[in-house]
Amino acid sequence: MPYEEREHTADILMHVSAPDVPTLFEECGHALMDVMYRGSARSDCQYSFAVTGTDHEQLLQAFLSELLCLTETENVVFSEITVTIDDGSLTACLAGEPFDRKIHAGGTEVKGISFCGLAISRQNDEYVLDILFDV
Amino acid sequence: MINGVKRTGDLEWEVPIGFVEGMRVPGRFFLSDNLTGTLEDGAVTQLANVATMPGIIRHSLAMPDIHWGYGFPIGGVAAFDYETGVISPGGVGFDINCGVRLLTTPLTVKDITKKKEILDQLYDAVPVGVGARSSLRLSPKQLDGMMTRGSAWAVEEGFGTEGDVTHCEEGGGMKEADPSHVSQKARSRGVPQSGTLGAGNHFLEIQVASEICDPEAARAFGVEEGQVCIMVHCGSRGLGHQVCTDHLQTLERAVEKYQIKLPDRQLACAPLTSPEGKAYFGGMAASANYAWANRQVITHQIRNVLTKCCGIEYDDIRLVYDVAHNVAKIEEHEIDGRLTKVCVHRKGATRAFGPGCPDVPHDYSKIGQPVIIPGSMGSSSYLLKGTAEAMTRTFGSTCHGAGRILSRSQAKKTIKGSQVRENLGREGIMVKAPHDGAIAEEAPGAYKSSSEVVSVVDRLGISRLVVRFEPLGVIKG
Repeated sequence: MPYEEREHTADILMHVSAPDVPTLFEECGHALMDVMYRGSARSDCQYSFAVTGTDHEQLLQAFLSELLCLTETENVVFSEITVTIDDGSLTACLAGEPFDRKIHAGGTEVKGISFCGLAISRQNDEYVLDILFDV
Repeated sequence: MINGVKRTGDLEWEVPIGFVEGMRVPGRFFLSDNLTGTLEDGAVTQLANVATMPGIIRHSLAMPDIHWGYGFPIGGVAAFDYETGVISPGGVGFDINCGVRLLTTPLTVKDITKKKEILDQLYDAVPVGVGARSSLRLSPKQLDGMMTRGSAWAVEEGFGTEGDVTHCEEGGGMKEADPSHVSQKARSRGVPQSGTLGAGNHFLEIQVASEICDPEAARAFGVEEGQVCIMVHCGSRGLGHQVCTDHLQTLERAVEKYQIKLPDRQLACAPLTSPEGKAYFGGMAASANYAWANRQVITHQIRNVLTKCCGIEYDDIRLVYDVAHNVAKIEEHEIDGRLTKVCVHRKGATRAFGPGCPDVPHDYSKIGQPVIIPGSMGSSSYLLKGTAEAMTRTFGSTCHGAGRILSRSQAKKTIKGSQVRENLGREGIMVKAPHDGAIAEEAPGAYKSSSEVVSVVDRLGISRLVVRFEPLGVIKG
């Protein structure tokens, strides 16, 4: 499993791993969707956005914050997330379907993406991190 | 107790300077022996981290509901000198002005003959859970009104009565609000969520006043034994969450600009008098006002349901008070014998101003500010009063709730939502929620005992018990 929930008293702490940084970011995006929604989503609607950051951690926080904002304002559950990173700027291409209470309800509202304890490291040929979602 | 932490009183513990590098003042927290087992290392480290921030005065404080959060610990309180100190979204949280309000009704338990019908109608009237949308269609001008004037805007729009405004902390609106520091993204999140409850630990609860501990104060607050009351817990919804997110990114850059050394990036901050600090404060205050207006709109929805279901008048449902428990405020406190302008951050902590404070509503002035402490689902909630002791010891602050002891994943693994629903049902407490997982996460076993937490602040004298409430029916977000 590329991501799993770790113990945190107040919020949701996700441990995420991937073979490269763009995939790590994509898995963090899927983890966020998994916390917020239940059921699967088709890929009927397409979106894209770009964010910038001075380091990978800032870039990740900006990417997930934008994803959170988009899922809430567009009311879309994203099932496909593709990330490309080029010199401090990130482009995300997303596909999903409109939120349907009958299919997707049952998740937890995420309020924000925290910097707390956020550090990307390399372990055994994998990139790993712990990221905290405020719920 | 955690290594390095010293006991300094019956209920008082100190985290000495040096516990983490760069501490400017000691940490101080309040816990009874019964609660020490619930304290996590992470929460104490966060308390010590706050003590490293520029301009902090006296202590980095935490109330007895202290637990591990992000940035500040939950239950954290810190005051910063206005001229030399900083402001940080990490000391407020994403849910700006998450807070609680208490309403009284003229009903007693025997009048609630159709509890299921009332809960069903409240559930239909107040949108809850992930993806819930408001039936209001706010114009940009109305959203600006909500952010600028808070509760007063809602009342003018027909969502309440004049008395509602005076019975809110800050009169339901911070005058420093500056919507120009609220982004278009935040506005887009705020429009469809006005008048919604949200999810997680947010709730709407029907309660009964089951014990009067301080008859004089209860009389002043308008609460009688056996009276049916309503408690609402929610915040500034996506608008506030986005304001925190936007300014956190700006303040990350400000930390470098102002050469502030921090042990945790979530404590990103800027001097209170800097353009970045003022921008965050203006946006935060606008979000706080949105939250007060939001709770006011929900109050209107509750009044409509109760007048229809219970045959009472709209004006019979009275707002006792509304408190914020995630906010930063500019206040004056006596420091070394001198009245000093400070910025008090309360993250998971409640203002508890004592008798005679000018910010306490006129009709409560002799008693002190009402302090509303919600319990976990199915457990007791409390109404307390602010004290002079709080003004001297905790910058006029007290606890905000029970405080979690189990993570949400642990709670879901060990507690079954359906079982909790059945158990509470047997005790006469009806629960409505979007799904059973929400019930398991917020089950009473996932929290400290609210009675023990409240007993600590009462014994310390930083607020005093007035009324205990027991739940009759709960709507979980």
